[in-house]
Amino acid sequence: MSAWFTPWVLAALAAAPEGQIAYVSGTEQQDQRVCVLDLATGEGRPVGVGASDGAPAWSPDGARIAYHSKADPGLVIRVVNADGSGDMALPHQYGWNHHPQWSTDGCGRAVCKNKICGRYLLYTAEEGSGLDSRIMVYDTQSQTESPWAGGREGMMRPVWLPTLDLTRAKHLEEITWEGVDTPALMQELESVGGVLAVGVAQAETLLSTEVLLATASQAVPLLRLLTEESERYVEWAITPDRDAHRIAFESNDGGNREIFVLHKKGLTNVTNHRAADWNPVWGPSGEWLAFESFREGRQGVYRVFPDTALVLKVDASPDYSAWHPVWSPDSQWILYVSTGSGDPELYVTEVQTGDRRRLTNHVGIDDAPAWRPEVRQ
Amino acid sequence: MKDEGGKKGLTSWPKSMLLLWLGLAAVAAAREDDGRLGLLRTPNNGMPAIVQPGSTFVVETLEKAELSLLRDSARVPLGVTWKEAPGSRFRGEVSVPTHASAGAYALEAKTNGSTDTTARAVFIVDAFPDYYVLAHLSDTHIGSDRHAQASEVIVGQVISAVNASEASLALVTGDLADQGTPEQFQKFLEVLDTCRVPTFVCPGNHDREGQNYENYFGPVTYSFLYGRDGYLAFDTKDFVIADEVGTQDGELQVMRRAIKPQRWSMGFTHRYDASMGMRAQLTLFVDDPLDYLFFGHWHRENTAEEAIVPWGTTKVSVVPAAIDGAYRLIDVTESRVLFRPVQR
Repeated sequence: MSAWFTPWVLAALAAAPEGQIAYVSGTEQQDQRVCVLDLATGEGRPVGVGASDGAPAWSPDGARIAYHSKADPGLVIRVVNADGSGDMALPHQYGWNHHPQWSTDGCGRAVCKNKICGRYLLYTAEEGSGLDSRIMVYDTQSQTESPWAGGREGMMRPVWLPTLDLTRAKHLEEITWEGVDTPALMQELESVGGVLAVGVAQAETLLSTEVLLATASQAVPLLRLLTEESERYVEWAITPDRDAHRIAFESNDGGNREIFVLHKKGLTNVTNHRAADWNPVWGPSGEWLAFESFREGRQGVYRVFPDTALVLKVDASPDYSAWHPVWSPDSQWILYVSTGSGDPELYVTEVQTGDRRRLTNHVGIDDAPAWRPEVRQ
Repeated sequence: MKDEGGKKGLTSWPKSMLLLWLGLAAVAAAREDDGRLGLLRTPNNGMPAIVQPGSTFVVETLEKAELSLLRDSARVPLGVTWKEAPGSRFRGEVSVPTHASAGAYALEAKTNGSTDTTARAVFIVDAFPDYYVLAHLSDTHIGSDRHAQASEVIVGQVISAVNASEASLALVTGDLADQGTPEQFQKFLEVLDTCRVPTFVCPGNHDREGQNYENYFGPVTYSFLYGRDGYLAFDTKDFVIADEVGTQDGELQVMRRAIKPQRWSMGFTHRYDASMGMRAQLTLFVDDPLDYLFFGHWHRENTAEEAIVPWGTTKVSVVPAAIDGAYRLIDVTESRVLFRPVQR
């Protein structure tokens, strides 16, 4: 072996993303199917039913995958085991059910802190016209579906609030708000848990959206409660960090779409660029956010350190698009979709080195990837 | 025998023969043979280029090719600067000669031994007027047998009326075919090619049969300029989930920003309501609202309450179905865009 072939080089050569990735693959919308890619072998296998399957979401223990799929008519939430067995469709009250997420209390950490980790599936349900969407919660233990937020209409894309640290730090129970019993709200949050969701608001004569905090019986405008944020801005893509100490979302506050972070001390625009900035995704450590931006002319993937608003490019080019960033469980890699080779394919970039690798090579679309959570006992 | 022999022989053919066979297959798939797009992808007669002499337009092809404009017996050779594009395609910037006369042209692409020609792909105009008339058709449902006359006869009459009008261009907002089959798209093209003005199409829910729409017309999301105005076509797909998978959301953002400086920015699609993909709505109606949105799907006009997108200021015009004999003329003026009453 030559002298340059040092252990450091060996280590660098050995660096490779590990684990499994669920994603959607197909040649057209109708045949899109949830698949699982094993990074050790490079082999992908279908696990979804293949009927316009939507973005997969891993359960916090990495055992199951939830996704939406075409029904006749509408969309149904399905749950399948990671090996493709046990596929089942949830029973629904409404026709169009989509974008499932799992409850994640304490998950992503060493162990689940309590029993309800991964117990609930949250999703949007609607009749398929107008803005009548609701938040529905399916309890996988009792196998029952219930509307949350008191059945309020105009709510969508719920995500679980993993802890109440931020709401406690902001003394939510001491805030008075017309029509809201905040002490009762906090009590319900403490006993069952809560979700963050996008809510449609009527600002003057126009529609708007805002960040809502919801329990089974209530929904309150979180930003208006905790900050001076007006309801006239249009907010979207809400995501709390692992411990819910900070909540990222996008807003058109400031003239174009930017990523904001709500934290104990207030609200910060962490991107602040004349190009649109979209879809924030917290890294597992809660230090960095990956996001999409058009600052090089086309959709690209970047990361930002919110404490200083330092932005670094992950993969962006005027010649192709890159989107849907996802962090590896060890924070070492960012997984995303790119059209660099023509069709949308999955790629990973090593965060520290910028080393980019293509993971799929398939005629058609490979999109909406989700990295399987690490299961640590 | 041919299929059997070809299949058997493929593995033992030399590489050059295989490439020749693939090349012949591409010719067979050209627009002029069965109606599907072949070597020449864009522009085409559902997404033409409208240009002035001395200006440029962009072509996308499967291979580098010699390009010419064809009109009657005249042939106008075109200069092209080629660049490789993702997906094993080529993008060329084409210069239109200053001596080219106004009118509708077929675009011919020639490679070694193969030729692809698309009718009505390029329209040369001497000038873009500040005031012009736009025709809006939708829901042609070619192939439908639910009417007293054949669908192509009814839609042909609508196109004759557009030809007789002062319209400078026409938008056809989806449900072009009744079941989205190749045969119906081919029939639709035959009717469309009787239109004397440039025609821009987008897909509807009835057109969504595999990749048939893309095979006949190319991209479902695109933008173009007509003089000082910008137009943007998009696909509402399976509605509430339209913004989840694929490239459209990112493309819409780029295209919307690109036409933002224009006098008017106008979107056209098959269907709109507030439950459609939210990302597209944020891009088109919230962050940089389009001035106008044209669509169909409802087979009726919009009411006064439906005349504006609920997110903001984008004004709406919904045209009843062309399969019912309807179309609308729209005046595009310096101060505003005026929707004339629906014609039948």
